[in-house]
Amino acid sequence: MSTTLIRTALGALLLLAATPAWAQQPEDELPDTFKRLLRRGAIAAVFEPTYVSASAAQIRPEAWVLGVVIEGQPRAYSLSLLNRHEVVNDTIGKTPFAAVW
Amino acid sequence: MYSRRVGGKVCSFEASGGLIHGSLVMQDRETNTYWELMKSVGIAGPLRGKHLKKLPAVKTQWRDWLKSHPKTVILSVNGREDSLRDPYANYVKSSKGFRGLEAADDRLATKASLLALTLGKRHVAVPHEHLVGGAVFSLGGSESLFAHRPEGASLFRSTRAFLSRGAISRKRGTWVHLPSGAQFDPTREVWVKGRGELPRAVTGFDTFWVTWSLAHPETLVLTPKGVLQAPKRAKPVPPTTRPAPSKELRWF
Repeated sequence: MSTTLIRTALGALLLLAATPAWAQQPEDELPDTFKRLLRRGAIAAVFEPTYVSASAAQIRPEAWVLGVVIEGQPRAYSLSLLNRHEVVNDTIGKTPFAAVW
Repeated sequence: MYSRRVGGKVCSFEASGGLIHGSLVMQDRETNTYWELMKSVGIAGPLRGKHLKKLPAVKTQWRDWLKSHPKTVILSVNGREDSLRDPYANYVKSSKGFRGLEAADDRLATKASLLALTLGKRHVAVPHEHLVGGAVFSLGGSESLFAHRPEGASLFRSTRAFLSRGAISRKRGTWVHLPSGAQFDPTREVWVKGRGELPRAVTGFDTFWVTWSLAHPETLVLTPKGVLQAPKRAKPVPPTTRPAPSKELRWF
């Protein structure tokens, strides 16, 4: 067997033995304190949010909201809806942000 | 509120289905990285160790938000902007932690509500009860933390917090930032009439002691009587949860 063949065989063995980065799962790195209660996505986040104007909103005056002003544009999210979805993925202008509390 | 730009990507987040010490852990769809909310950091996956950038936001009541932002729009999901069903109502009222969790130590009551901040490598917390009408705490050197809550504010309401270089003191009932001469307007919760560098707004968490202390047991608790240091040997963190029924769609 030529030296080249031996080197090629050794290289192939090494490739097989190493765990490639793409084969590792993020779950392998989770700390012991992580407790899974639900499957991922069981609480549906919002990915394409829609809005209504203040005059059209049906919301109690005393309801709690998370408010933000980005690039001069004010937006509000009722905490009661946020509690049901946990995360709203949003964008204003060039600013992508996640409404979460 | 967080920027979705992280690690050179724009990420989309959702609940991972898991919690750490009763607090939300998100997962992003682009890299599947897990993100611990109380630490604002990736904890597992390709973006592990990357920090999420907090953006300023306020929690307030709709009538007050509308008054100060009349052109606001509001999120609507399936034709609804509000929900009367609040899955957290009982948890908020209870004196106990989520599923029996206890705080990392006894410096404060398990469910004491507080303002918590990460300032560089330091974590600090101030019980809400000390912030009514405003309070100032030295952070060493010339730096201090000023925070304000209105009288009778619900624990949901955001605390306004500012970092200041130079002293802040109360003169005839008004908080004054001495280097700039700025005065604190307690109605709008902003500094006005100052010249030069004003106290800088900072964004923290308004949360419970149990939630914050388990994420950051080394936190310094600031009180008017001084700093409560973390005990040298904090209580071991207890096992957190029992398994939930598989069909449960809420944490509670």
